[in-house]
Amino acid sequence: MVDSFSFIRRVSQLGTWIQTLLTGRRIGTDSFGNRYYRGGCSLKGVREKRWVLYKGEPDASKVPPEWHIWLHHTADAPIPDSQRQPWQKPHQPNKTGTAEAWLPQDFPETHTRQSAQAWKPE
Amino acid sequence: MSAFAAAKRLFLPEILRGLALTFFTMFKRKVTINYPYEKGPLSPRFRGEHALRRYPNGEERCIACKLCEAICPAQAITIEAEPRADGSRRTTLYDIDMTKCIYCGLCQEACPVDAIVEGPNFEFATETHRELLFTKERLLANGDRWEAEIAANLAADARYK
Repeated sequence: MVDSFSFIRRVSQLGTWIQTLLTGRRIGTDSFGNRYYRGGCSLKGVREKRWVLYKGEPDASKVPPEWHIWLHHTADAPIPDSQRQPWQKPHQPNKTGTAEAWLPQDFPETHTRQSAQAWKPE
Repeated sequence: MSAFAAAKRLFLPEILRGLALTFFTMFKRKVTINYPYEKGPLSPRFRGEHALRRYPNGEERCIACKLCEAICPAQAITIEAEPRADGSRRTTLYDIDMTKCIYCGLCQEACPVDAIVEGPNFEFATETHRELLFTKERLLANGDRWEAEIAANLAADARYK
């Protein structure tokens, strides 16, 4: 699926694309097709630049946790997929505003505690 | 009036000083980041979106001790518990009102089994209030999606605990 996004948002990526062409060193690609780069200053004590080119519309919540930890400078390398447990679910971006947005079923207006009964004055 | 006094009257020295400051700032290291392509540094202790974790065999960790419910200063957590069919004590209902939560992290500090944690995700803003009322289903799903990074962050911070 290729999600469409506006011409203005494409043009706004231009600076990032030029930066990627000039200084970017490709680190890898995640399972969603987002490409990860690093570059910039290699001086000691200066944090290197790490960035991502999103597949489709740029949306910060599209980064899966394996690469999220690297992109946020929390760890020096992404987490390899080999450490996945079988019960782990694939990453999901923030779905708010779409039909797949998460909604609680029995919460909160109709929600009552099962163990508590309302007090009825005699 | 001399030329210098006239320049002072017109604030020219101040203007030039301001222009010089702007000029030399061009050569300083930039502090801005190109979000969402580039992101800021996060600590392994970062307190973001909540998640309920599982043991490596897939069993949910939460034992319904209600310590998180008791310690929550915003009273955002609601728990109901019952013994499960196999006799183990589990929650039948685990709700967090994320619009009450103040992200203090006391729930994850109170938890004796590392079940409720505040994960590294902070990009869960929603368009409606209702979407931020998290139930057990949603919290377990958060844990299943973010487990890789949550486990790595806990391991990175373990020796300081």
